[in-house]
Amino acid sequence: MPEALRERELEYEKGSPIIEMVELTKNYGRHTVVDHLTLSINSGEIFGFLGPNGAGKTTTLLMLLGLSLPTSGTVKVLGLDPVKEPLKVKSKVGYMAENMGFYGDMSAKENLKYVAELNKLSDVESKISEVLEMVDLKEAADKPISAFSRGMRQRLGMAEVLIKDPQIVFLDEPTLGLDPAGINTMLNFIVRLPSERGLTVILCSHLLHLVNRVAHRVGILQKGRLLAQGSVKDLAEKTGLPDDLEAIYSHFFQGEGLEEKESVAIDKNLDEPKDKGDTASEEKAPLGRGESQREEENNKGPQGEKENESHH
Amino acid sequence: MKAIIKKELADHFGSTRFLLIMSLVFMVSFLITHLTGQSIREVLSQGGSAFLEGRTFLLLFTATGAFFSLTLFLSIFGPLVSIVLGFDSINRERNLGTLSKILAQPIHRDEVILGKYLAGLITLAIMLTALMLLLAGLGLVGVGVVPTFDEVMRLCLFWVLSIVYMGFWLGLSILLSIYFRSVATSAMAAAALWIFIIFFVPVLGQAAASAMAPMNDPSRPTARELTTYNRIDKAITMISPAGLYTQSSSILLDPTHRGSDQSFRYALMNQLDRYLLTHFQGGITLSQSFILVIPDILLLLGFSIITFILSYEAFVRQEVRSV
Ligand SMILES: Nc1ncnc2c1ncn2[C@@H]1O[C@H](COP(=O)(O)OP(=O)(O)OP(=O)(O)O)[C@@H](O)[C@H]1O
Ligand SMILES: [Mg+2]
Repeated sequence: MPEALRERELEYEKGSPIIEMVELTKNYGRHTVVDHLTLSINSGEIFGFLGPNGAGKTTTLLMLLGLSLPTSGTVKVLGLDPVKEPLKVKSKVGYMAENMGFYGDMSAKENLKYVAELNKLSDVESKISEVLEMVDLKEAADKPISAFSRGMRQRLGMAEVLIKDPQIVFLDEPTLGLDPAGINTMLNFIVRLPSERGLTVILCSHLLHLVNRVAHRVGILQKGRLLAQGSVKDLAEKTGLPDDLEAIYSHFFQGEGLEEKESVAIDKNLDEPKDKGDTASEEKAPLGRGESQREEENNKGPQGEKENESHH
Repeated sequence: MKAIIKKELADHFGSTRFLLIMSLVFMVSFLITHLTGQSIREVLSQGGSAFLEGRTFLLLFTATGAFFSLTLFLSIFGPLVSIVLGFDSINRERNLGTLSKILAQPIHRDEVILGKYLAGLITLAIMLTALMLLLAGLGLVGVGVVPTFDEVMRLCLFWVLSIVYMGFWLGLSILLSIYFRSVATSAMAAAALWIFIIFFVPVLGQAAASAMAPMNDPSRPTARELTTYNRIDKAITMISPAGLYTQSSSILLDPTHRGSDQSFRYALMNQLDRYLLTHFQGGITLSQSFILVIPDILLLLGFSIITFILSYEAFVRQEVRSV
């Protein structure tokens, strides 16, 4: 991977804009879902897209992929226009949808193989075992998906996104339906993507404490409008609030739309968004492994629900 | 697109419901041919072969035997096989959440429908080839008649015609799977269209003809009355794929059949004897048949292309998200 990483850094210098949206707008009939959104995402960052249900997060991602056509405004992803060159964009961008599906009667390997073939990848077999290793699904490689737990599916989704060796990944609610341990492993995995694979990540969620743990910068979206963007520190300075995303968020929503906090203990290693590079060296375990160690730290979480999925 | 075709083919041949309807079609076809073969053998042993000169082998496919002819059976049940292959091809994936995943890969949207369409067509072609070879073998061994070159060519043309016909139904069912989000709804819609086109349109044709060209005395119609009646009836048949198919297959496989086919269509009537009496020697040559069926095949192809264009239009405009 280091080679690919170097190439990428030449192409897109870390920190330079890799995605640019200008006045991006999407209407469904008379209903404006994304409203004159102007935003840049920088290469090598994890950008947290925050907003309540129906804010327009998914719609924005679909427009970035060329899967939904903007009503007005322009998008550039890696310098390409997704409306005119959707195939080029899609070969460099991985998208994990909020309710990603799999072919239930096929095995994990076969599902991955299909995605690889659709991407016209070469050397498919070795790539499959590489990504399966990464998400810790090696043992379950030949099991049919219908026998997979929610956590295993989510990890397979991650493998399908990474097999094409993308430059950017869009993760739409990647922790949806996971138990606290699963959330932790997923977030630990995501946080290492920029430093280890040179990826730029857009992470959509309405659970702000999750975004807070991994994102370098956040954008707060409501009813299609971008209310604020920047690092939590910048936002705190601007609003004169304490350095706390939750306080900032409730400042913008004045208390409304604030989700109940899940009973997940925030992993202190990851609390500081600016130290992404360092956390990477601490946690080298692949996705799904190391759940048992973390269980002790998570003793606030509901007991008895946790299962170590890698032993299925 | 190769990847899509490959996966869809594997899906079709691994799916229980396809294997079920296939075994149904094979069993019924086998039965029909067996019974027809028996009747033919009887006629042959009674020395009735003068009528059958050079046409014996084709009779296996067109004679009504004990139930109804094989061509009629295929005109009714061929579409069902297509429907089984296509009615949930898009909406199942949409509901499963795999559609947005596939479309997020670097492929064009039309590749998805074209890939599914071609995979279905290949499946149908394999099935039909196997079926016809099996029945031909049954004819060779069971009845002991060897097909002439003319007959083989006619059967090949019939193969092409049948593929185009079932291809139309496949396109139609894929179209329904795009329009309807629910698999149950698209299945119902496909069944309704099947009943409408196969059973209703012919009746409508006759009803419309009687209404538009009433006869003074139906028991003794004048020649003019008969031609207008026939023309209206024919025109309505022409816009029905099933009508086109039966008409063309009877031209191809039943060349001694003269004039119109009032007796032939959709009714389970003829006995082999009566059949032979009404169909004398002569008939149309292979090249004449070919020229006669080409417009019908083209019309059927046209119908298929229209369903494909509609599918494409609908699919490209549609939102990808599952709910
Ligand atoms: N095909 C459509 N037609 C009309 N309205 C739509 C369509 N798709 C989405 N919407 C509307 O667009 C708005 C934004 O939807 P979107 O899925 O982008 O929100 P989101 O931020 O991803 O929310 P969530 O957190 O629930 O996933 C919603 O109000 C939704 O009702
Ligand atoms: Mg969403």
